[in-house]
Amino acid sequence: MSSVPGLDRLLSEVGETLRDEDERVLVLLEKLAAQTATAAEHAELVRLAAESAEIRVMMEQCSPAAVAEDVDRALQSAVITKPSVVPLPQTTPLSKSAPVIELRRPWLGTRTWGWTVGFGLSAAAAVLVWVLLPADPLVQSYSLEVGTTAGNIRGASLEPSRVHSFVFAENERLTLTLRPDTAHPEPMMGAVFRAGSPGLHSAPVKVADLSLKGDRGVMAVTIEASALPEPMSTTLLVVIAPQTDWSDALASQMAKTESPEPPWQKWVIVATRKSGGSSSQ
Amino acid sequence: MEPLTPDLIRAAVVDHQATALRSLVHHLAPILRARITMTLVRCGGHVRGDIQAQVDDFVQEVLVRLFADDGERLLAWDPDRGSASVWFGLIAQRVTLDLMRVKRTNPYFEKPTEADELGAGAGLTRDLNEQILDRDLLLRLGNRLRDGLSDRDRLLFELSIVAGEDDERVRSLLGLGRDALYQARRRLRLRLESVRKEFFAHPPPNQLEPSS
Repeated sequence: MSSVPGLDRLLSEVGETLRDEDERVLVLLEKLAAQTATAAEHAELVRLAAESAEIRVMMEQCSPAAVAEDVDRALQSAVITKPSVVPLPQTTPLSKSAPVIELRRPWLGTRTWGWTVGFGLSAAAAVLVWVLLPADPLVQSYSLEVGTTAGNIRGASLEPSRVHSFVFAENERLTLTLRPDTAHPEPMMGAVFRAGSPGLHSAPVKVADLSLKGDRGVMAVTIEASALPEPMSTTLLVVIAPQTDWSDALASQMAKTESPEPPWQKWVIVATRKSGGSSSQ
Repeated sequence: MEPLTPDLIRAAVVDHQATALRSLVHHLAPILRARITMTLVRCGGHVRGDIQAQVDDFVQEVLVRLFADDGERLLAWDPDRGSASVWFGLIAQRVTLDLMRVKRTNPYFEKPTEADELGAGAGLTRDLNEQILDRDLLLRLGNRLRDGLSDRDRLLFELSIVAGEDDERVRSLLGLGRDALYQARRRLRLRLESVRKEFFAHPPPNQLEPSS
């Protein structure tokens, strides 16, 4: 079969015919999705779908309801709805010129007792600062635990600074539990975002809110492994902050930020869904 | 709802008008969803599996790409160069194919075609040049061919033969060398020949009747 012009031509004709047909189907699907299809166009699509399982699947996916969800999700996305330049928080403007401080040797024009008094005052001030200011008054420390609803703990006390990878079986449900390391004085908020696909600079999409479990500040959420796309891994970004600092838009920004500033805390989990079989870290 | 025009896009992307933004997304979503669904079904073997999550995600990914860089890709649309469906649909198709490029190294395509398989095609198509196949027949032949292909060959068929992507793009998407692509095409031709013979030997009822 050194050269088969007849077959090449036939293949090319088949390709062109299928392309024409696909373009027609595409027009009908768009109209169906946009709710602009006439009765005749709808009937045409139904007829085509009756003849082809693939077109049937396409028709199911292009329902007006699915499009309405696309629109809602998109309009909730911070990247689409907000200007790309996020205004920086108000800060004190920098003065253009630094105050001039005259330098001189400290012992010039001083007396010996001045040294002693100065040292004593500094030490007292330092002690006062140490006593009055706790090390980190705002940051409430939390530990993240990843498990399944079957009760298997897959990872506990996960460090925020590392990326934690887990493989889940298709029929499993992931539980993400955040426990405060100490008594929990203020209400917290949290959410799980899904990062964009690798290589894309996309906005995180909120998957679920963390909900409080009981009155000890424990927050948790359950995610169906079957909701994770296959075969790509899904990067889940868990973000928490005190309720007073929380807003959905800010949370979305923080989910994108590599190391958010306290009091925001963030964990990165790479979850891979595996068809059947067992799961592993 | 305001029609989709470059003015609407500017109002949404440059002026950040909420009503225009909503209207723009309403226009784009059906275009993207239809194209992404078709690409995933035709090229991703998604007839049996759960496709919804993937379509949902890809729609959002494409929207994010369109709005990225201050909406550069949206603002680049010129109605004189193509309808919104074609322009944004092609962007959606490209992004979807790129996201599907997980099957980069594909040993299947490296498999050489057996010598006797290659020989089997010789002389089989002498009568083809004399045959005039009408559109309906070609369509049925094409669909039969689609049904019988493996997922890998199906992907090659959709990209190379139906979508008409150039060879370089196909090789890049499938992670193929030139020889591998050549071998894969030869297998495709053989399969077509086999389908054609089977089709004419045992036509399904009413399938050889010209369409009215």
